[in-house]
Amino acid sequence: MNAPDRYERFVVPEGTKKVSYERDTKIINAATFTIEREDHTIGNILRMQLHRDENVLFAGYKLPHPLQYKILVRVEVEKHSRGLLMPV
Amino acid sequence: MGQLPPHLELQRSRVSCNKDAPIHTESIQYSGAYASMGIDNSSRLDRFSNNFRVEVVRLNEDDMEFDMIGIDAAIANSFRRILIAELPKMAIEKVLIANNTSIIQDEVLAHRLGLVPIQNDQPNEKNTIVFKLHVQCKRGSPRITVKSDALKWLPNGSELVKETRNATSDSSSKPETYTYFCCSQETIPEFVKNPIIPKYPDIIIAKLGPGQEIELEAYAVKGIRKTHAKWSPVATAWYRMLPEVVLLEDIEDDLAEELKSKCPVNLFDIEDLGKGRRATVARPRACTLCRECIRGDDWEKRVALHRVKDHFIFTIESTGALPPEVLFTEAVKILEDTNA
Repeated sequence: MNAPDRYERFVVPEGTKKVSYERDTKIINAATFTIEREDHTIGNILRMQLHRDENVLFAGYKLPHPLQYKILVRVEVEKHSRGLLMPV
Repeated sequence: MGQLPPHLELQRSRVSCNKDAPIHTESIQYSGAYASMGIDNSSRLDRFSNNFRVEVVRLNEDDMEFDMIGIDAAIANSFRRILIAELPKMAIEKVLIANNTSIIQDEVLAHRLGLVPIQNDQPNEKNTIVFKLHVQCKRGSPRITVKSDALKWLPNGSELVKETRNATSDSSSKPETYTYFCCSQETIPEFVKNPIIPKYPDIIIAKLGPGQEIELEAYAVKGIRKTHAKWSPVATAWYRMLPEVVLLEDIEDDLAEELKSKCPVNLFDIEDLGKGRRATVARPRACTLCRECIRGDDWEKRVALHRVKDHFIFTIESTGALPPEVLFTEAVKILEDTNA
């Protein structure tokens, strides 16, 4: 009865950006990417590929709630490299 | 580039399946993991492309088994998830029921029709496929079973006529139907060679008693399984890691016989050496990891079960709409698209 529509899992509604980026206030060189309407299929691969990069100190993803279809990817890089491009 | 010492290499590339639980299951991806030893664990594209291989073991019309060697578990899992959830397919979505006097309710009938697999090579948003089902069981005749071969493809579009509100419509104009195809679908070249039919003609849809009738039209559209399970192009897709059975010490004579009889899939063989018999591992790939060979005292010291972390045995079973090798190449393209 309260279940959201199934197409909400992959259709990004008008106005929301697919990927948004927020720097972490307490730790330098760390940020959180919020990717709308994605799940473990992309999240796990991104996390794995980020781990392989030498400049990455911390990389992880989570789904805050299984009925809210978005993932948060948190990345922390070393001081000398400020590249923010996705490694894929 | 040096080599890791054997125990570390075991930890990095194999999952050790012990009697109680597997250990070393995580994949060590951090590039500086073995930096103190001087080994570079980072993965580069050239090293990946040199090591990566795909070997097809079995390829039938409906299912396929192949090995992917040299990729990580995260990518293998993504392929599995995409094969199941994100490959598009055509399935019946809207059902216009003109007459249903059978005991199967309308919505149950529509649900069942949605699950019937349709053989269609190119799911396309622009092509809606229209099917018609008209079955009647006359009074006095025995019960009829309605099977999926009663679904007829209508290449010209719908035949049901829409009611026009305008009572003074021109009698010479063509009656409006529910779909409007500018040309018959039969003329499209792909459909000339493969007329669209349900893949399996003997799926039971309904059963009719005497005097009952079903008349309906069904429209099939393209969708993905994330919306509903009827749009899944695979019956299932799964992978497992390659098992590896290592004999830690020579197992001879009676112990060898005992080992061979323990294994339910017969992966050990007895080798006759002249002065004694010895056990060898003949078919490690068949191992189902039942752990029978390490049950009991002392056996853990003699037999070690491992799984190779980057060797995946994929099995894809298709429902028939697309052949399995096409399904996998489409899955790779979808992964590429979402990451591009």
